[in-house]
Amino acid sequence: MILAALPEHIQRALLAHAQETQYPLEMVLEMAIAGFLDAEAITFTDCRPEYT
Amino acid sequence: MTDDLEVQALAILDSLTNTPFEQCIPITRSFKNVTANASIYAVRHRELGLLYVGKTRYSRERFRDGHKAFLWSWLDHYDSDDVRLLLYPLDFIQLQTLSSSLEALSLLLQSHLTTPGILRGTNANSQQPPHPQGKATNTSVRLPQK
Repeated sequence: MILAALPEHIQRALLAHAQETQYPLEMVLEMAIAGFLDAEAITFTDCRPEYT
Repeated sequence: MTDDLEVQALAILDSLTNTPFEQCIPITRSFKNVTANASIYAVRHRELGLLYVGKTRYSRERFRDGHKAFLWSWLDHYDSDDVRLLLYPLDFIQLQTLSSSLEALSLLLQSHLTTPGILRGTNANSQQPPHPQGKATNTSVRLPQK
């Protein structure tokens, strides 16, 4: 699981975000990665990374 | 875009345009009471209606450090009390349902934004027509300086 490889304070932040939004943790991780690759993206589905 | 999605998009547009201005979120520095959920949002002007429509995966963070629509409002000398934010938060089910169509939905919303009837519809009391040079982009619609 990706979460376990992350620093503890990042894990806490991601888990807190998932709890507040009621999104599954997998969705929070997906949104975080999608947003890094494409600032306008919300999920992988609408993500258009520069590198394809 | 499917009929169902179009219906959903129009419901979102209706919410973003017809919610009373007083129920929108006043501009602050921190927006600390704004939801963390993903949302489709509108920046509204009390008289001119919609200034900007966009989507965000993390609403509170999106506005915490400013937004270009607020900068444009400042450049256009709008009173900060006349500019507010309105969110249409997405729950997980909506996020799943809409994620494959967010781009299409966004374009549909913008196509309605550039329709004069819709712009007038945002404020029944306003007699000011949409500016003929108002322009739409892929992510936003900016009204010209008043």
